[in-house]
Amino acid sequence: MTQTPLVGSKKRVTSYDERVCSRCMGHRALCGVKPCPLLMRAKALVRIDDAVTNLTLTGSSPPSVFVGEHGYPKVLIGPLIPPIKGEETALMERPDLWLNRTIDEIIGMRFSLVRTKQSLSVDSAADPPRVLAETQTMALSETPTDSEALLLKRPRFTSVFSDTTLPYGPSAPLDTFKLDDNPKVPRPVDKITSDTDLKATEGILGLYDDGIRQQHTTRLFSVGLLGEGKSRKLVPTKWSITAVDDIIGKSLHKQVLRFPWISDFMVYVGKALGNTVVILFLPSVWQFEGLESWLSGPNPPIISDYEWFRGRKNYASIVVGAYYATRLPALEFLVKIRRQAGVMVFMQTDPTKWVPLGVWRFREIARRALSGAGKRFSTLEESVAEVDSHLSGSVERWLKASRLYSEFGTQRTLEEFY
Amino acid sequence: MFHATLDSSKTWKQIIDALATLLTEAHFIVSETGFSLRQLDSSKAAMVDMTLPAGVFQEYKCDGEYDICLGIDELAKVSKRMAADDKLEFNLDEAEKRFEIKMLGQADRQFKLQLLTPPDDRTKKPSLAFDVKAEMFADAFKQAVKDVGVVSSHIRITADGKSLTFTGEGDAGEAQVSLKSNEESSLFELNVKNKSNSMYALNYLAEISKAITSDSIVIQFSTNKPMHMEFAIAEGGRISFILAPRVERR
Repeated sequence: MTQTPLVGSKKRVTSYDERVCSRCMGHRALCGVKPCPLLMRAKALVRIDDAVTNLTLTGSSPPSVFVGEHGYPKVLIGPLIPPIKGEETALMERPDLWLNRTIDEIIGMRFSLVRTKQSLSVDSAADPPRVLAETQTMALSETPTDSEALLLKRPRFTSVFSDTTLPYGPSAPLDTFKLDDNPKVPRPVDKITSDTDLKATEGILGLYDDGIRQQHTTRLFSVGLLGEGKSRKLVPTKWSITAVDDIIGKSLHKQVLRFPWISDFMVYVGKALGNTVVILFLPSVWQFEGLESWLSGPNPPIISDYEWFRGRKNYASIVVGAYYATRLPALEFLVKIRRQAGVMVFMQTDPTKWVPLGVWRFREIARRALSGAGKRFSTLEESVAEVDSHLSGSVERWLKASRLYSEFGTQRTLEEFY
Repeated sequence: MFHATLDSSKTWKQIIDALATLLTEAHFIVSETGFSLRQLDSSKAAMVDMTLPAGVFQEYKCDGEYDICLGIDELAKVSKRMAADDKLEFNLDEAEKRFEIKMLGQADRQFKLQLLTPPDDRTKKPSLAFDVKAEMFADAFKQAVKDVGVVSSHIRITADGKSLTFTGEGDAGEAQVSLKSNEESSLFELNVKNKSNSMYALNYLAEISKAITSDSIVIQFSTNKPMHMEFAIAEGGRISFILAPRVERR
């Protein structure tokens, strides 16, 4: 990508994207270059403004709802509706099925979703006005529901990419919204959302145990259908994604601590859409580190967040959503094999092949990698060499940024002193 | 049959808080002589070893030996419900596999916690001989851990005949806390057979030092060997933590 020219300095000046892209993800204009080159590329791919031409919007929502975080506790909320009817819109909200699609297909799908919005207090979820009640009903469904929305203005593309949420298309203020179809509600969803004495955390875990798709659970949580009756709230989509990853992760973490340690080092690798995820399991107590690098320039920065075996109490504020999105599949994997391990996740994004489309890709790439075959090694050196072979540049730079690696093998166990 | 009463809910809370620093399950063994517990934490780097003789309790009856294995989260939640002047009563319901905790105060409240399956093996204590034994105010130890924690993620403890020194270094710089053994010092006993120095992970020590509720603490260690920290609880009870050393990367 673009390199700032060197003037009068021997020291290499980093390019703008190298310093900030991995934090900004194209929507905070941190680099000061406007418009964001990443965004421009995405925009060019779809002719967004032609998607909807008048104020009545009919279509089948996948179903999908977006709750903004700006202005919390007064937020913009509304269903995302494509100007298309039919079952095939379901795919627009199924990132777990996207890894084999192209970026252009994904952007095309997501940008045809019109984001409708109304300003509501987050507390209105407990006693919803009509439009919100209709939106909540739609959110219960596991399949697309035909619906009709009357907009106050023509949809306009306001260009928001996010590091956490899925992207969406043009947005418009919403006047009225009604479903033309009955939602198809899975039994556990009906049971848990209608239980107004159940805490949100317990509701989320219940849905997880009943095999409800995570995307669906996140949607229910976000539109305020989980939790104790009076305390139900709208939850900004971005927060709901990480909250669900974290709540399920915490419950699996407790189980994993009881399992015996793995005996070898294991490496699992997944690649898709310009992203590489390498997962290294260490024979140790549970500990986790998410390392992320946005490949740009010759020495891209590597960011890290980590936790020791008791888990973390504060938010992973450096790697943010990607931390929780990869910790969950790692824990799911350990629960499945009934073993305990330390886990290092190396996440690498090639910005020439990727635009910021949300953290889902790390979660899904990790899940796919862990459902396949991994490689076993008896030494740390061999496993690190394997990790190296899948990353661009030298693995040494990653290891230098890693706290888990620098600590690994330094803490002795009491068993050595019997 | 097991039955015990304890007049101080504070003591019980302190015990549960101390166990919660390292464990997710508490595996008590109750016998005629009292309560005991010895467990490794999940990382196997630290151990907690506790003895509460029958004399700690006001009433104590136990015929035989029982494993009482309970979830720490559940125990902690129940202890949070205890009022300061509640008297406690403990019973074991073998048939229902429940551990009963009664709080007798303004109201009589009763909690029954489900027993978990105890581990197959009982944890043995590593056989350790120590070169250094030091007794000091618990607060001095806590402050030293906090001081070194400002710059470092580990703490090196060095003892020679005259002083006990805590040092650490990190990216930000270095820190050093020295305790001399003299009249004025918070270190009131220092016994050194051989000069020793050893390194321990700060995250464990930070947790452990939070659990210390007594005024003084005895620490024992040797070069590159585990450290033993012991303090008293209630009348005649004691809790020890044993922590394996941290070493330079192989």
